[in-house]
Amino acid sequence: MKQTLFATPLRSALLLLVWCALHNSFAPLILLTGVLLALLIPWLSRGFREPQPAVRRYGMLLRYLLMVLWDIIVANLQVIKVVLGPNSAMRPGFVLLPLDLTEPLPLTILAGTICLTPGTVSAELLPRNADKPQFLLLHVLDLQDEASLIAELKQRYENPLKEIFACSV
Amino acid sequence: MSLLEWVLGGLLLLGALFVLLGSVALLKLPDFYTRLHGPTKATTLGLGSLVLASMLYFNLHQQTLSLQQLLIALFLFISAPVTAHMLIKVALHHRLKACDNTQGQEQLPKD
Repeated sequence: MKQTLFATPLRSALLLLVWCALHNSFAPLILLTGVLLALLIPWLSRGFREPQPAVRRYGMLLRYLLMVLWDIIVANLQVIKVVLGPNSAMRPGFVLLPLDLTEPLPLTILAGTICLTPGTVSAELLPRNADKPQFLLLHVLDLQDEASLIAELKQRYENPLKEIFACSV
Repeated sequence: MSLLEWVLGGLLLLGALFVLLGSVALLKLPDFYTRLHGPTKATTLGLGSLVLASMLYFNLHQQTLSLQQLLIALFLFISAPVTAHMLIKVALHHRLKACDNTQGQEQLPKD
């Protein structure tokens, strides 16, 4: 791992943004202390970090975030439709999503995205004791077609994540 | 009333409606696993619109810079999926019963 001050540009940028937002100001003094902290905190905590695959394509990451934001709105409307309908019409189910991603950070983002979007909550990485997880267990609120759901999740979320982190798979 | 006030009112009402529906989901759905979906999703969008309304009000109506709402939204989007994931993990661990028409129950881990 690199030991320089600017080893984690994304984390530093986020820290600076959070600092300025906490102060509600972009005054020079706030900006200066913010930049200092944004450089110092990742440097001081470098020993605690596990090496993670770096973000390779920031444009793609931004597009992914916007897509997820839109999907959250759609997912809300779907969930509300199911909630307002009769309970007997609902078909909940558990689904195993086969994984191509293996690194912890992309997997965490994938699981979080799945939790926030179309009627699914990620439950567990399986098998539990394996070095590399092979499946992500999901709970689906209204399961219509298992195969097409798996295909959609892989194509819509996992493939962009693979490209963003330029994973070796 | 100005256009901004209409927009603010609309956002507040929409947000309140989504939060309410998320709570209705908690009350109405049959088992733990399905109930989990309401608060994780509907509440995110509901709180999202409330936060957006608050931002618009302070930045445009009061003419003061206010960014703290962005932080609320950020931490909400990080914590909501993690909470849901941990809750459902615990539920699986305790083998809470899923409602009878749940598909794919044979795929659950046996240990």
